Amino acid sequence: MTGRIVRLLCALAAFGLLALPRAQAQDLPEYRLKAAFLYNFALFTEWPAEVGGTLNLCVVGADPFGDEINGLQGKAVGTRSLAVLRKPAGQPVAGCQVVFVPAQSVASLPKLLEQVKGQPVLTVADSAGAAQQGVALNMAVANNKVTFEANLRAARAAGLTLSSKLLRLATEVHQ
Amino acid sequence: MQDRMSQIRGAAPRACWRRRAAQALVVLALAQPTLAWPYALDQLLAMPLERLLTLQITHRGPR
Repeated sequence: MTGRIVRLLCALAAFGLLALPRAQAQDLPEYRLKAAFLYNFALFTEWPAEVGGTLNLCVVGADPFGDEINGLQGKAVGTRSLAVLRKPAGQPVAGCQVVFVPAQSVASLPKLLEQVKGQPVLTVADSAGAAQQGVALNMAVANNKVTFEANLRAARAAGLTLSSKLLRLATEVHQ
Repeated sequence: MQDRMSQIRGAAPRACWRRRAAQALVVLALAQPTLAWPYALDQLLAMPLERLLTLQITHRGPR
């Protein structure tokens, strides 16, 4: 009887060991991970007092997230909470505190940056060269992992302070 | 003689049961990738930013 229990325990342990390396194979769509980054960007940004209790996160133009980003609705960001909104490209983004411009809508970026100039709006994109164009945080994918660069000057011009943690983890910080 | 034959007949199904259990374990272990559960958004939100930077995307592009 004891021998049988020992054999069963050994088999369970072997099964666990076989399963361990495969834990990395968990399903992870690109825009679910990018939604989690957006949340962290809002979390690690210091917002001026004039920003109220709700941070409106606006996705401009074609929405690459689908339902993935809806999970951020109502999530706490410090003392504030997030609200997810969709805005058609080229339309005003008044009332938005975080504006995400997906690669599909990057053509509307110059007009949008002009629109939010001097306002406490955290601009985020996922297109090559967007940080140089004036976006505060720009995501990229390298080796199937999401990375991001920061444009410190753009964030300061918007009256926002990016946390030192965010700047430390950025692949590049444009001054 | 009769007892000895009964013992042999009883031992064979037990050995067979063990072999089948071992085979089932191997099949389950190999089938793990298809059993892999997806990362839920809430699970990602609970992770530190440093950890998010290490995660590998399995599907590119919009949903």
